[in-house]
Amino acid sequence: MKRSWFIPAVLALTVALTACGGGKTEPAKPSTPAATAVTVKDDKNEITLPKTPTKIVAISLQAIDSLVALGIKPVGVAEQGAGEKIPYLGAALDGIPTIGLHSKPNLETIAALQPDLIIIDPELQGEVYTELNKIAPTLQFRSSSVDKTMADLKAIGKATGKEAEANKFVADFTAKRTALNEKAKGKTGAKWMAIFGTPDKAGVWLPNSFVGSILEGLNAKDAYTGAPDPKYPDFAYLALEKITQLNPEAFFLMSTPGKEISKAWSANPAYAATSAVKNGKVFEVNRNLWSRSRGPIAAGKIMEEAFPLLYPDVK
Amino acid sequence: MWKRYVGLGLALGVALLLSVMVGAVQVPATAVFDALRGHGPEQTVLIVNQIRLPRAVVGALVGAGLAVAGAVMQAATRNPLAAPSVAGVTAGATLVVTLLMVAGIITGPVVAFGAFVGAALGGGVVFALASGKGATPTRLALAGIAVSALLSAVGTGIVMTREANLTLMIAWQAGGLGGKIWSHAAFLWPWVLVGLVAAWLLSPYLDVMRLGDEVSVGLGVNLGYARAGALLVTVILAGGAVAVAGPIGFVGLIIPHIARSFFPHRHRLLLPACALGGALLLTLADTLGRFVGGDIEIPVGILTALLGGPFFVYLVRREGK
Amino acid sequence: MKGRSLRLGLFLLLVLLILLSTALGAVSISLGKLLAGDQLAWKIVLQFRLARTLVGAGVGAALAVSGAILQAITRNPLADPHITGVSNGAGLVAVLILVVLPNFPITALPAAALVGGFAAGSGVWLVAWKKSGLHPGRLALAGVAVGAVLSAATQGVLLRGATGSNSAYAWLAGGLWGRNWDHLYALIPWLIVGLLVAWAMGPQLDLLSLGDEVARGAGLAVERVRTALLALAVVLAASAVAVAGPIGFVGLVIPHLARMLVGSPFRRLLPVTALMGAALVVGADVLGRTVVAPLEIPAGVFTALVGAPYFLHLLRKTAL
Repeated sequence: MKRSWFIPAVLALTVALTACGGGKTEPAKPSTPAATAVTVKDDKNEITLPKTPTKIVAISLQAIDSLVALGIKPVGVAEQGAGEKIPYLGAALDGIPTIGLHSKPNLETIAALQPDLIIIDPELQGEVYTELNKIAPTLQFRSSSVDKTMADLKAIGKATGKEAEANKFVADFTAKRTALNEKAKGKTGAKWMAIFGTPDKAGVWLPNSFVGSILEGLNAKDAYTGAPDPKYPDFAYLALEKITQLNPEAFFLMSTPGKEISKAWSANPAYAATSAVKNGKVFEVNRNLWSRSRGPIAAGKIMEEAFPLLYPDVK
Repeated sequence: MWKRYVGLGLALGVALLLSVMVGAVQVPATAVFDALRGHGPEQTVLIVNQIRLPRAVVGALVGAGLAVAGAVMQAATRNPLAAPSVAGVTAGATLVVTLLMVAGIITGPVVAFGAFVGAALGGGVVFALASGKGATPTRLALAGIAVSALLSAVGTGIVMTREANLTLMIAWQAGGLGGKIWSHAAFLWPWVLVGLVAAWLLSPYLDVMRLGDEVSVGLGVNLGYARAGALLVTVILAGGAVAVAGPIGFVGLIIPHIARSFFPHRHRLLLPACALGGALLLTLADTLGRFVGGDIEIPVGILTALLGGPFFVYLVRREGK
Repeated sequence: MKGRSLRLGLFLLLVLLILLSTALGAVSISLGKLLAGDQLAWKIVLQFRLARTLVGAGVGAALAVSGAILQAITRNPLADPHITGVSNGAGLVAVLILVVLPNFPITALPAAALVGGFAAGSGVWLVAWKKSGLHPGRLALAGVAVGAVLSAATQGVLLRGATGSNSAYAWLAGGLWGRNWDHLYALIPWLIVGLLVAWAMGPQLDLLSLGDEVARGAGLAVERVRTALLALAVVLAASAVAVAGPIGFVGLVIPHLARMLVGSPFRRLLPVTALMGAALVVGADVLGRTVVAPLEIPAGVFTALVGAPYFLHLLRKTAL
């Protein structure tokens, strides 16, 4: 007789393991309502931090950029694969351990760093928000415009006890923009089109996007002001002929370094017919900086990069 | 009978004209003919001659290639479900394109040839596994699935650890005619021409193969050579199409079936109808996509899938008598 | 007894793999730390590694048993949840939600994907069903056809996306990244009920795999039983896909290996199938999160690398 004890045994074991694992093994957080406790509002919740965090893990590009802007060195940051961290931040990220991809942060690596604050983008890492929040209080920010980026920076500054630094950064940025606009007073910048492209497809950013808000802030108009893609508030894939018809005066082509697409573009008569291409105003810009980051440092760099391209006559 | 070919040809002509007229900017027929001769506003001439016409031509070539490739496959495997998108051709091309993208090559002739080689390998493996003794529709479809899964697993493993490649990959997999220009047509037409002529020359063998192995051997046809020839033709046609337009599914599946209900089943007569029909379908689908989408592109692959998917289901229901 | 010692061996192997899976990861944790009661070490082991390992084991068991049932009722050695379109249905719904409704609570994703799996399963059933009954060959073909439609639709949804599509793409690869106890709780009820029902229907499965005539002769309501079993296979597969995405080929390869080891009847086969399925997914996951740590390669990649060639090997041997 073969007695079939097997399934019951497997099930029992599974249930037992589940039960013991599900039990709250986590110790209750020491509730020390210190004088430094702050309450911060992010995109989704209001979160109270008992004390000023010192060990921060930044997973989204915006979060990493914001921390660097505040002079904070995170204890862990996400990467883009092959060990590549956000290149435009230069040496600021040297020596900081990687916690996996932006899109797939490694939970145990983060836990091992024992952070006291985690900052994410709800659209990219929202899937594991609950898990991350169990490791440390987790803030969620996703910028949609330069104003939102700066507001988020202030919120992060408040959370990390760097409010003064945040305010100064924002003031500096605003002052720089005012100065640039002063220089170009009375002129309008080139009618631009910021494109997230592949060799055959053109996704353009609308005026209300992150990049759009920076360039419009420099009094340069977006060539495309039509409807966005049904799915996005600030982005649309356009037909080539539409681009010809809109006839932009400057192209900002966002591409991955080493994978420049302008060569494929200039071969295409639809682009060749625009005044941007005719006048040699096709600017290949770093996608990480211009499109993916949405951070405050990126905003400043984009503004600086774009100004001379939009106003070539202004010295 | 000849009237039907003429009718199909005329329909294709009208579809091509329509596809040049319709888009983000509407161009009336008279203006199209002016523009073709270089007259009219500069922008209209550009849109007609440099943007829409090459796109329409590429679409027609791709459609013709895929449809004839499907017809050849269906005959050689005696399988009504055979088509490039079912048989690993697409997955093979996608894998090679993925590898090239990771290596930093995202455009140009290398990518086109790479996709071609991948299509040939993927299709070749599936074809080889599914033909031979006991070839049945199920076997081909299942072999196609397995080979596609294997190839895409390799691709996923590579892409998943490199975020920068993901968006490019997704865009390529969309397939479509957006951004296709004369240089694409120039790359594609020799392959399609050679493939179509070769397929047509192969017609008698396809007729025999469709009747079954015993009949073929009985008629003194060397099945090995005939199959190899069919495979080569398929790979030339489908590989070229995928290399230029990415994966566009179901054209090769649907058209031969529709063509068989209106035209003689002898391949010498059927294949030209398939070529015209495939070109017509893809041209119409692309025009529809631009008409519906307005300023915003809807890749033609979505539309062919929406049409072809249910047709596939219908075929399966009809198949299992 | 040989069968029993084999099962015991497999069970021990699975336990060993689960232990190994909790021992290995991006962070190295020594046994000493655990014994010393290091809280962080325990947290990593229990909250991150054990949870996803058990999800993996459950998913593997569900997929393997689902595949075994499908192979028996279609009498088609090449049937599996992937091929019958169930995975694609669940995948389409999940991707649709990720892309179209970015604010959809992610914890509800598994339940929604379950709906998709059921819908696809029913679709396959409807396509395959004719007055004459549910012909095995047509069932497999219907799965391929419906699967092709669904995956075309999934591609369509994916390519209309730019931001949300990244996570959708990742989901489609199938894997255990970020899976936790909640996912396990979502899976367990379906799994337990599914396994118990499969066990209960063992004799009917044995009859069916002998052929419709024999089964009918033995007094079995063939069509009704086959339909019920198809629904059962869908439940198991869809719940697995809902929590882990489409992890391919587990349901295909494992039943064959299990049959090679123990043969029939189904009640002897079932536990071995479940254990081996669990072991395969757990093993693939361990590999996926250690080879390029702290980055991860989805478990589905490894199961496909092992499974697809085996599938092709089977295809060559099988008369269809």
